[in-house]
Amino acid sequence: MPGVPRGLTPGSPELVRTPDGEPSYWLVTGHGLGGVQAIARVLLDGHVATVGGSPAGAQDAGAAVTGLSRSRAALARPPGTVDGPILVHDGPVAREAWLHITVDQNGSRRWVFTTAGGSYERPAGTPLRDGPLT
Amino acid sequence: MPPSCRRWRPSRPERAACAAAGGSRLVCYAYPKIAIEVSYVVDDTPATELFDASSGSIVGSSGDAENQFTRYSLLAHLADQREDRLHSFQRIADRLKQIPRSAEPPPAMTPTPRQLPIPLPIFTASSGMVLLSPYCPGSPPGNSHYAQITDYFCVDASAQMLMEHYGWNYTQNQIAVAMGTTAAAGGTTQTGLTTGFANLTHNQFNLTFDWGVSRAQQFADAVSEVSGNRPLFTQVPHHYRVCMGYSEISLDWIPLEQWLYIYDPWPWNTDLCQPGAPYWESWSSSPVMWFGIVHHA
Repeated sequence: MPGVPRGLTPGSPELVRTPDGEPSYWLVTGHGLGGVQAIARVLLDGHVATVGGSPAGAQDAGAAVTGLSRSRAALARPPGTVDGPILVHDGPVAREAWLHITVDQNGSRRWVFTTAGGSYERPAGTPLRDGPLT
Repeated sequence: MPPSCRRWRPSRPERAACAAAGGSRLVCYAYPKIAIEVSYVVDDTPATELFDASSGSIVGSSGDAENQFTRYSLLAHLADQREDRLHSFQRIADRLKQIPRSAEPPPAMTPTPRQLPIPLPIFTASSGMVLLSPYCPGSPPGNSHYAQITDYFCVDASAQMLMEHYGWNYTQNQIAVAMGTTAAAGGTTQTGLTTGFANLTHNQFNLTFDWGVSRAQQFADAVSEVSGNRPLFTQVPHHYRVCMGYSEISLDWIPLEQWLYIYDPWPWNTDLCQPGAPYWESWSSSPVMWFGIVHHA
């Protein structure tokens, strides 16, 4: 398809979960010179949901869709992290971010979502708000 | 001289029945313009005229450097390079003459008609992309792909991309103010989108929402918009994006594979020029709820 390079080597699929931890779909990378050249999102039933190129310089699936590799996401652990980084989609398919689960001094758990742009957070277990578009 | 014979001065395009025509040849009179040079004799005086090969108009002579339709002699302006260039041209011309030509044309192929037991199925493939030029197939995409600069600016970034196609350039912060986008509100409401869009474009566009009588109708609407070189908004749950293209493969007009080309402003980045990569989204599993269709008012 236009915009998708050919002759690539498939990489290891990486599972994307919901913030609640449920498996949702796989990221399958296509590798060429310079790292990840293409990325596909494959649903659990095998249906290919999306396929496209990758931003230049991405070295793994997480970097291709969030701008941050897993290792860099790990360096961005916020204080109080008890789990993460976990690759999740916050909202629809393709809205990926790295999730860190934190516990504050009161014992309250929070979800911290991180991409190359930075982080945002909300109480753990709360979905994106209905109505507003983000 | 016959009474009907009138003098023809080369600088005036008047009829002349008394000029004796000589030869003609193709010339390049001001690269890359081509003309037919006609040689003739009038009153025993040889002369030539140039007729532009495209328009048929007479090509005049002008010393004005701005004049684009005058005969111009490169060789006359080359001083010491003239002889070298002429020799180089002649060398190449001589070598071209030495290239052997095919002796005979290839034999014609005559297909043998066969009767097939059943008619073959017909696969059709169609695709389209919103481009910068609605007329030139090879032109670049019709707008840039931007990242949303905060995690809740998807509408603002999508509006920025779409409005850029129509020549309306705003920053995402300007759009956010116009649309009432805030972190406290959790993003942008539909009311904020419609009101802000109208204000920013001075009511020159109609923004309508296509919930679709059916999924098939929605995809057909997207095809219609892209074919008209118009990007469209797509809303998926909690998120907003721009659709820039479509692709469809059908078997006997039954859709087999349908895709949309998405400029997604996610992942967010404080540098809007560092977006993710655009992608093709399968329509059969697409979470699109509705399209935002933009037409001139």
